[in-house]
Amino acid sequence: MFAVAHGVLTILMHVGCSNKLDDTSNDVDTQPTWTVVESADPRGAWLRAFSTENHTWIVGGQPEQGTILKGAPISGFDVFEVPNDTPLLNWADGSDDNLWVGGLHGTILHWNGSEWTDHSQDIDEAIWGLTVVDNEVMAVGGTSRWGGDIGVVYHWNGNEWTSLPLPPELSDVSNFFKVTHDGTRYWVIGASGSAMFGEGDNWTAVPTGITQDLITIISPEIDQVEIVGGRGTGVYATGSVDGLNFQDPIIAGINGIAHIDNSRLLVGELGYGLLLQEDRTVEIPAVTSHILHSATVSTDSTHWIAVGGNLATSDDTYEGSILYMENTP
Amino acid sequence: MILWLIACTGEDVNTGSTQPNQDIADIFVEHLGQPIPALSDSMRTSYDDGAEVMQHAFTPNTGLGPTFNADSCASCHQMPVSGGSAPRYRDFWLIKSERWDGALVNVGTNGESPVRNLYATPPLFHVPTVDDVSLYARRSTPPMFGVGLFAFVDDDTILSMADPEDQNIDGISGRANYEKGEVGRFGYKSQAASLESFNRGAIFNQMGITSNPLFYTFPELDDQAWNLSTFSLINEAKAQVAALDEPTIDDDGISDPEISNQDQEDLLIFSTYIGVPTPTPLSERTDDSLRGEDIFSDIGCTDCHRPTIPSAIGLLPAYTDLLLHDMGDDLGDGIQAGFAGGNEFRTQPLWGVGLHPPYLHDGRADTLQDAIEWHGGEAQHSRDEWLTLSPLEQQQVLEFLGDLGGEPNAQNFLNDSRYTIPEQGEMGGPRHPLTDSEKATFNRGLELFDGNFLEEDGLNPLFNADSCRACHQDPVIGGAGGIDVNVLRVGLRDENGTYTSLDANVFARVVLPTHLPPEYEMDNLIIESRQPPSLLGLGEINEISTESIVQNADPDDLNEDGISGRASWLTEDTLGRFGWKAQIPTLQDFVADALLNEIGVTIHPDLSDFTVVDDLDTCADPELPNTELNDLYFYVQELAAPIRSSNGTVNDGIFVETGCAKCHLPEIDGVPLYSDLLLHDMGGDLHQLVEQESNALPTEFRTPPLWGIASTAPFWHDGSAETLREAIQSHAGEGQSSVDHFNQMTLEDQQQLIQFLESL
Repeated sequence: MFAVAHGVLTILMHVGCSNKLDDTSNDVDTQPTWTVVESADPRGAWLRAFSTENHTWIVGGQPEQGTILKGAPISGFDVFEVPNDTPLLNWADGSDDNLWVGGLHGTILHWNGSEWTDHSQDIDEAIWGLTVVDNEVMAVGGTSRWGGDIGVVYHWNGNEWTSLPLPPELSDVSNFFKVTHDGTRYWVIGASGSAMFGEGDNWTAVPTGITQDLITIISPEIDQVEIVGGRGTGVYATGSVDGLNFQDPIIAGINGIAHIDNSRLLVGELGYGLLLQEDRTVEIPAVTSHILHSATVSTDSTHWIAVGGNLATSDDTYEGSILYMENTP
Repeated sequence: MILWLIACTGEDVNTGSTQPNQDIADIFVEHLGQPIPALSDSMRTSYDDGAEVMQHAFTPNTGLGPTFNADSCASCHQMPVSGGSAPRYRDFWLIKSERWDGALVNVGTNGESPVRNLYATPPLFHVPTVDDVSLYARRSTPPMFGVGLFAFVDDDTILSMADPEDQNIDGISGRANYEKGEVGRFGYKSQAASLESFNRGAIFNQMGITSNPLFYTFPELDDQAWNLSTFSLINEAKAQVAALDEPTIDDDGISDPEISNQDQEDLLIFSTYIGVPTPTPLSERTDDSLRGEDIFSDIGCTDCHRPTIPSAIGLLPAYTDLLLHDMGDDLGDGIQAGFAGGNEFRTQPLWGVGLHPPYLHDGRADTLQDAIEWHGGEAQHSRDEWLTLSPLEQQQVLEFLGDLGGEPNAQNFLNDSRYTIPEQGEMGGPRHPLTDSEKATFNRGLELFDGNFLEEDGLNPLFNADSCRACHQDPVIGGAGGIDVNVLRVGLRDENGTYTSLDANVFARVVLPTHLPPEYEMDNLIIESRQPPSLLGLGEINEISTESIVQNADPDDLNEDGISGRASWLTEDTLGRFGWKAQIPTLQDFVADALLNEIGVTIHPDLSDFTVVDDLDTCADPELPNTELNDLYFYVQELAAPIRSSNGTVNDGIFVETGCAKCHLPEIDGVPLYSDLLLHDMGGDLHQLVEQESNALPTEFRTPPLWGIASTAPFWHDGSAETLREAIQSHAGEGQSSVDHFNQMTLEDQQQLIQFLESL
């Protein structure tokens, strides 16, 4: 059903890449394809994959019980135990012995390499994203069908959590989905095109001029960010504190982005995948109808990994997808 | 079908990757609203159930609201049958507000959708005016006939027609829109790729009905080509025919979802397989029509309105490419949807185009000619060519378009009114045996009642309805109106309760396309919703003598029964008997009042005090000629009262025993209307009321007739009572003693009383 729309894709060339569209983007020999690790994983929907030095971590689960997987795309993923009754986990960041995860109902947990510590906030809002910078943690979240009313931002300074005030322009935003650090400052993005940056207690709202939800943000190099989002159709922006440069729309909403050097993998709705490389832009044939929520790179940078699930449904139980494909520059 | 085969000969169309059938698909139906012929019996059951879902009127207790424009799918998709389009009175607005950074954000339904809702569920009744609306975009309800069949068109087929860079330098670009990676095809901007998500959006945006995403496999048809499940992204056992989405939720106190998956599935079957109006057979087409078809192609219309589009079920003769085209600044609405820019619209299908004026996305064109001449942007060249055609050639093109299916219906008649005239003894029929001459008059009156008024007929720039039928069609034409056509009366009341009238004492629900909706200062504004009452039997009420009404009045309660009953004397010798406040004396005045206040149409001032000499619009007054008024009046006057069911006399005693019959007199002058037509104080706490222009107090209401009451839900003047039980129990004032009596009755007796009312 998916189609390669050259007319569209030509306008999606990543900043810094060649503007030449590789005519072989449909060549079967070079067509990237997913290998399916899990297509209907009963352990849950997967919302985040990220790699530390030695492992790739995947978090998600069921609404009443969050689950973490640890492993590698080829050797497989095993369950990494979390406390019972931990709700659905949405995001994780850190390292093998300094792992932070966030989930529904204000859930924030910390793994120090040997045990879990509960840092959960007494709120109904979900923690959708967090980022770890040394001993600091910035966590963001907001409303979900499970509760909550408003976007929230919390900061852990190593000793205590603080709820951070928001800039007036974004004071009524319902959701902040992700946070990252560009080496100099934090960036937070969220619902209805909301974006801001700052040192933590002094945010500057970023005028995006769009109303699509911004779902994920990464910082591939210092002082630079890249943002994806959208529902129905996708959003992709690159930029810095000097401004964001929104590319033309992508044919599906994008939830996840990962990078290896100048290559980008964008994943999103209905298993959509888009690979942006130096000399070509190519769609990856979908192998799942799940939303792909997150993308990452294996520890050795040899593989792209994408995870997803049927979280955006009314089903009582969720199932997930775990995919990978070889990185062929 | 022959027409299409010939039309497609030599057509240079890309057959797409699925090598679809090259015959015209078997999709035409004899009667509008029928499914495509290939539907199996089992699917037909789902289709029929879906048709019922289309007609189902949601209520506040079943999830309607908190804000809404309509209470059923068929409220808008009504013309000429369920699944069709809507006259202009159902047009609605998309509204957006400019954010601090310039982004245009939705400020409609629940603050999430762009759709501006007019109504709120009781007791609020009306959605407060939205502040700082930066963008209004008008929308007209499109027909559903055949639209679902676009699901059978492969993405590649649509993309093969796209030429976004206009590489063939023909001035026509055409590009696809997308939804979740699939090529869009539904909606004025092709913004939806799946009917499921389109349906879910519409029921949420227009009715506030929440739903869950639908995971569904279409049942298999005998002909595999018709199995839509083969078009799912992945051929799994549980194929997902629709794009993923979040469940919709709202805050109206009713648990979500408010429509079941089963009803959604049936609705999906209905909207997927509803058939296409049958085009005029080639053997019956005129030379002018054939010549018009050639001209249509010669002037470039078929560059976008492609005669056929290949699909898995055969060629679809829809006259569309399903692509987005820039239609120029004049048609542009500023709405961006996916890839669609503010000036871009999907090529509208033309099959059955004669059926559903007004035309264009915002209904600005009353005629096909107007619609053609509004084309701009990529269609500017064709439009200019059209203007160079001779009148005969233009007429030939219009005749060709009229042959594309469906009977031209410029006045938006409801189907039944044109083809099935109710007989005496049928609901909506006359109350007397009529001579042939009288039948002709009755029928002309019915057509006037059913047909739309246009601006040139006197339709006011601000109006509530563009026909009488708009507000009087439940359960038949001439009946009552649903909660979604309530009149919204307004006034000012300060903190001390002092009432001040406004120049205009109603919200205008609709404006002509050349106007923006009026905005109101909401401070101290109070709003009262008024239900359009049934007109059935009003002619009989008109003939009741004044003396017979007045003799039941007891304004000082001399008989000490707790019931006063005050005659509504409008002047010394003029008694009011019509309207919720008995504020109108005669049926002719009632008709004149409705024509003026709801439609904006004047009659000759000598005929009624309830019209005006000049209503200040551009149409010369009086706008309705006397001859037509006489026909209309004859029809309304002749409308028979609702027919009582055979068990109607059962439990009459309990109705009397409860005290209901003290005001709801079973008959006056032999007319079994169950009303005394007098004003009664219904208590001060019942509702916050707007003072009236009549002499009735805010808490006074005329006893409404009860004949046919069961088919006019919701109840009360404002529609605040959803059931007869609620209506009974929300009486106060002079009705309080009956309520007390009712509440002390056994549940069985209460139910018997309700059954009695239902029998009326």
